[in-house]
Amino acid sequence: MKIGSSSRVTRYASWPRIRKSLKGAPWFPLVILVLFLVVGVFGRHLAPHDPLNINVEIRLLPPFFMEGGSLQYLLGTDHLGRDVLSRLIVGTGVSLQVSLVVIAVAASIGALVAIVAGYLGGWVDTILMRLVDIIMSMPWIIIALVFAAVVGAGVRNIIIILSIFAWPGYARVLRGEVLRIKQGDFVRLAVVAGAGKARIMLRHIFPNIVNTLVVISTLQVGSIILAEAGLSFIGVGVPPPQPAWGAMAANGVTYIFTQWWLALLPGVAIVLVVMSTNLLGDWLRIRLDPKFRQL
Amino acid sequence: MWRYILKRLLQAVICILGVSVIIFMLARLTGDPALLMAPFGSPVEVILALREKWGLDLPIIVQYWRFISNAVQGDLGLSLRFGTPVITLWLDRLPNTMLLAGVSFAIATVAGVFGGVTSSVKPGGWFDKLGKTVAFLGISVPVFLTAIVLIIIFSVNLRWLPVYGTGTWQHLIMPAFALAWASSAGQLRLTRSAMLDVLDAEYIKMARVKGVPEYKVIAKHALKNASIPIITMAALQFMVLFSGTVIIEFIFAWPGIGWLAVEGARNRDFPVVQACALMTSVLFITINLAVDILYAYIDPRIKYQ
Repeated sequence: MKIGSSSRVTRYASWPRIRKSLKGAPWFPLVILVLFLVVGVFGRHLAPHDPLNINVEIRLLPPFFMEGGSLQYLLGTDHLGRDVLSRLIVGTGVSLQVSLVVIAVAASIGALVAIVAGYLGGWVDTILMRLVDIIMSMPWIIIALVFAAVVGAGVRNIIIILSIFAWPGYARVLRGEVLRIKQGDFVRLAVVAGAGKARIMLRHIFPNIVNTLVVISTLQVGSIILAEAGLSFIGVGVPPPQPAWGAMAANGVTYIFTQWWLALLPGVAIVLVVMSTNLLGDWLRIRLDPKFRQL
Repeated sequence: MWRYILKRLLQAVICILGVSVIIFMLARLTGDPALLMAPFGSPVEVILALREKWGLDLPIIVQYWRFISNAVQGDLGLSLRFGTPVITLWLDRLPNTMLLAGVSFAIATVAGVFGGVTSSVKPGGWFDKLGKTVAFLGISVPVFLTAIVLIIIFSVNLRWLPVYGTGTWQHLIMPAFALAWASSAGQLRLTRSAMLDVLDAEYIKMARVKGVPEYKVIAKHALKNASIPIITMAALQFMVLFSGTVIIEFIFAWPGIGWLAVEGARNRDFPVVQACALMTSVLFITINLAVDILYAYIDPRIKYQ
């Protein structure tokens, strides 16, 4: 067989396979998440107005679908006359940045701790798992307040504090996986073959926890976004005047009796994204491992 | 049995020490806690005097020893804003938070367990589908949004319930429900899956064959055996719920620990925030310990491990 035709054969064979693997994929959540990603990255260029531009003359305009709203400010303006839609769009960037960085940091630390603790066992395991217990027994939101009182509010500080509280969850679930994988014949054979501990952990154990790692990460994105919004809401997140969804909702609460939509709109944005990541995570969990039932 | 309790007690003490080390270190992140503890804008002499008083020039181990021995004696410093001992502030606010957390925990547990059991009786039925949707929304909606929607419906439009403050039972309804939803979702999911596992067991079939009425099979034979994971989850959910009180108290101006901590952080009243963090962690660890000891009574297998 010629090389050319064989590559065509694989291409034919691969397209239905991709389609099959995407069968039943949650399309609506995927569309929302792609939108979240695009708006999060290019938000500053997509916003119709400057999100920081204060214009008190047009303050508290209602959205276009309500009486008195205008198409120029689609979702109305806030108490300082800033365009709500632009602030929502630019605020997407904060949620995206915080959730992606926290997931990356927490997943790396969590996986490393799980593999080292689970594979080596003994006192290393005891110490690391005790540390996990300690962190998990702390009220994260109040510790975040302590942190904010010491070093002040800001995106970087939110990322640090959420990473500290996110990795133990990974470590606990993944360690269980490692303990199971460690018993596998292929690991014993690798030991017999003379592979070093580092090599076994990296080449034999790590690839086997990647699926679980992906599933936990997807399910975690939602809770990280919720946590970030919560911190911004109580005023220890992104400092004003930078827009963040949680802080916008908190500002809106002041005007809830007259301009109720100000508090509601950022909340709707959060729900759409969090719901989408949760739906995608549930789908991935069933797709990647039907037996995986934790979280 | 005693061995098990002793072991858990020791673990709890280690946990509390670990938490105290972390909080102690946090205060020293900027290098000089005197700047944090001194009233804002104090003259240099005051700050130097405080440094002297707290022995901040001493080795860090000695400083930690002072911190922990003062804390054990109930001395966590004075509030910069109110000038009163922070421990009294915390203790004054504790009943309010316990009331809010307790009521909403009760709602969440009753709704979650009832919903979970009913869903598991007929998996795939209409109640199961409804329960799944409600639980899914519960984990996807931020707690402050639930509160906002409740306020818009019941305070702004219907004018049935008061938004801010405390005092009457009407003040408790919205905060308690907003808090309860998210944690009832977790309880419902877990109760359902624990029940489904148990309902498959031989002794359930045996009970049915014997002619035990169905409601008795569910309530007595199945639920009792599914109760261990449910209690674990309930304890975990209490912690989640307690963290949620911070946001809820802030929205509804509910004078509890959460609000105290938020106000402390916003006014840079460091001793208050620090005390809230330390005392609340100790409370969490104590609750966990109590739940673990409770297990040993419920599940006799644990005693022999």
